[in-house]
Amino acid sequence: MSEGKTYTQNELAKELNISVETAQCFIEYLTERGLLSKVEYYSDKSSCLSGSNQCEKCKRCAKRTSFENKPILFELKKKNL
Amino acid sequence: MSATITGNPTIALLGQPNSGKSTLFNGLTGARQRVGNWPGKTVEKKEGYYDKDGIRYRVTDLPGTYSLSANSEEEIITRDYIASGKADVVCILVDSSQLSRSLFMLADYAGIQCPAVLILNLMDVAEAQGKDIDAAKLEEKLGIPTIPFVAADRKKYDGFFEAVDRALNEKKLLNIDSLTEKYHAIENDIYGKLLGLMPQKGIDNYSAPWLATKLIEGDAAIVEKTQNTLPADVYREVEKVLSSVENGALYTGGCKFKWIDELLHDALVQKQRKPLLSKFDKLATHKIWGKPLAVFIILLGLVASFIPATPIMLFAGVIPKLGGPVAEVLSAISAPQMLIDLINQVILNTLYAAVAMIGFVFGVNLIFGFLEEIGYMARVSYVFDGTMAKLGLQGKAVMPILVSFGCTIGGAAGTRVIDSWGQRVLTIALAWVVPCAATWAIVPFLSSVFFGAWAPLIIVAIFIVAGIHMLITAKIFGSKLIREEDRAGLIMELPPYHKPRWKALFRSIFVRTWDILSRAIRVIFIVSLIFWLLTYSASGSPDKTLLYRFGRAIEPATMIFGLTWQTFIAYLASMVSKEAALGVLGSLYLGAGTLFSATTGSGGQIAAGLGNILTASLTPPAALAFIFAVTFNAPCLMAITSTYQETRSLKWTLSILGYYFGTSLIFAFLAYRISGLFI
Repeated sequence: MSEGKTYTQNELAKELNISVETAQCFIEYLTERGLLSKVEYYSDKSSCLSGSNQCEKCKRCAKRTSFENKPILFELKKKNL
Repeated sequence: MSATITGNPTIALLGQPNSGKSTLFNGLTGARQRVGNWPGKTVEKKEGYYDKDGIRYRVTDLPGTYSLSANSEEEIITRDYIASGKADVVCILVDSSQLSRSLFMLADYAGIQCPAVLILNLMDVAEAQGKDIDAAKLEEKLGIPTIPFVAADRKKYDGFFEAVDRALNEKKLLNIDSLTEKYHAIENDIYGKLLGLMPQKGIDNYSAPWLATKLIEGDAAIVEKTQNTLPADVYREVEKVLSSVENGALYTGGCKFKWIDELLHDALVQKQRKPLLSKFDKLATHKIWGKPLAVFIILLGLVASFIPATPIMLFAGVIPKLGGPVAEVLSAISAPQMLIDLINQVILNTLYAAVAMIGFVFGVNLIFGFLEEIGYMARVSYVFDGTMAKLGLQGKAVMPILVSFGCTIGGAAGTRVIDSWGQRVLTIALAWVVPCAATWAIVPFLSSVFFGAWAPLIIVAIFIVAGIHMLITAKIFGSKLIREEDRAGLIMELPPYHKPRWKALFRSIFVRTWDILSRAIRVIFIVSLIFWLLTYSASGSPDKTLLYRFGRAIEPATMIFGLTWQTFIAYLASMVSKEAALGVLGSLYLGAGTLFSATTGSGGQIAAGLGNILTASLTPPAALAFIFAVTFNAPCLMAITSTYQETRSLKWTLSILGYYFGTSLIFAFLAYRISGLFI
């Protein structure tokens, strides 16, 4: 991973010879420890596309950025390695 | 069983939040509890007692924590309490419905020299999930009493009482042999080296193995404790070993989770429900076959999107035919000719173009919405990760690129998660290649108009050219923008496949389609009106208008790229909004029925529809040139603005804009010249 490769949870589990469920817990653990960080797309109001900052009424971002069943990404934090 | 227990033993309840500690504490103590604060802390302290067989058992409910590291006040209180030796037995509660996660506390406890009981709480939930947990096997491996338990069911507390008494009598410690074996396997056996430097009996209630592990993890409180306890020369050795350790928690965490996994290997049986599409998923995420499969499915999806689009396009064909009756009615009531022309050539043309193209928007949204909904698009992003890396992009760029299929503005905004500025600019530059929803609205429409049943082939060609375009763009921009070290590793959690939720899917498709339709009507109407006015001539001689003369003057240059002056102006308008291209075409070719007549010499009759006029006015190579020019032109004015907002660089925004202007004309030129050889 430090070479910039991407793994799925299943591949990670296979690589570490653990179950997928345990791999998931390991990812959570590494995230809590700051070694991985969850990639949050469109999570802050500053990315508002309409500039209104009234998310409750506005559906503009949702229409433009909605992507159902997207993969959840965890990024290796190089600074912490 | 409690015969040998003396005094009033103290039981500490340890576990992660929501493991059921409080339920057990309340179940055991009832009203016999006292709530206060831990000395000098704001964390709540709960103590109580219960009596059994003449013995009073004191119970302390420790704060809920995820581990015994010193990451929070709660964790420090918990481990200080355990280290103090006040507890005679520690009951470790775990959530049986998620053992892998919850057993981490047990792994972190390993090495603490206090008898323990493992309580597999929430067994009822685990059973309902189809989990069969063998508590006896776990007890055999762990060496401490292990019981299945439901804290909410007070009638079944006997097993708990019996286990606590057993732990108090036998005083067995957790068996950590297989865990320490894993710690020894950590690089250069740093664990073994540190273990050898620790006092054999440990410090307080912490054993030497536990201390060595926490030192590897860089636990500041334990480092300080060992510094204060060990002789100076021994501590210097400790420091020496630790200086070679970086991110020790990564190694010890790996060991702990591996230990948990082995522990559960034959003690937990999960009645497996066969995952949906598991065989397909193997192929869909295959390193080699995943890509061609994705390309095949996407192209098939685009071709299939023509199916729902066709009836809508046929329906749209009725709209221009209303022009005749409307003109008759308006003429009968002596309406001004300009109004009749306006309704015929602007309003009806706008409606026709918007309705005709919306069929394709609906079709594309339906097909891709379906692929998203069942979880396939996430696999597409995974199989193309390697390709993205070759383009120089970060794994995180996958979402902006995918989102750009819907809207480039959304794609540009999505690049904010990319830390490196250069990577962000490159991702935006490449996102511009991705045909957005508006492109999918007009390109299939124009392809159908000009190429009929061959239209899907045009879509396939656009996809292939888009791929080549991305490679070239990445090469040109990448060399200036990216550094190898910018790419960080990723773990991708792919969503499971599931059956589509049709209601939600159609609701979202209708919302998106309506959004594009309403925008298209507005844009096409405004642009049509402007260009209609620019070409309107009351005398019926549009060749006198400034726009016409300007168009004729530039046409020798635009025809190099296969673009007539009308399609060239429509191409320029597509830079503002893709839909605007249709508005311009409508006005310039239908233009009050006069400009078209002037151009084609067909006589001034009421237009029969944009499609017919276009096929009569443009050769197939010229149409293809226009389709390629519009597709690979800058996405829209908003996307250009958004690019500036995200890059904060006028230089790079203009560079990208200029690059797309140039390349789209080159693609138009190539499409025109190459197709001219065959068509």
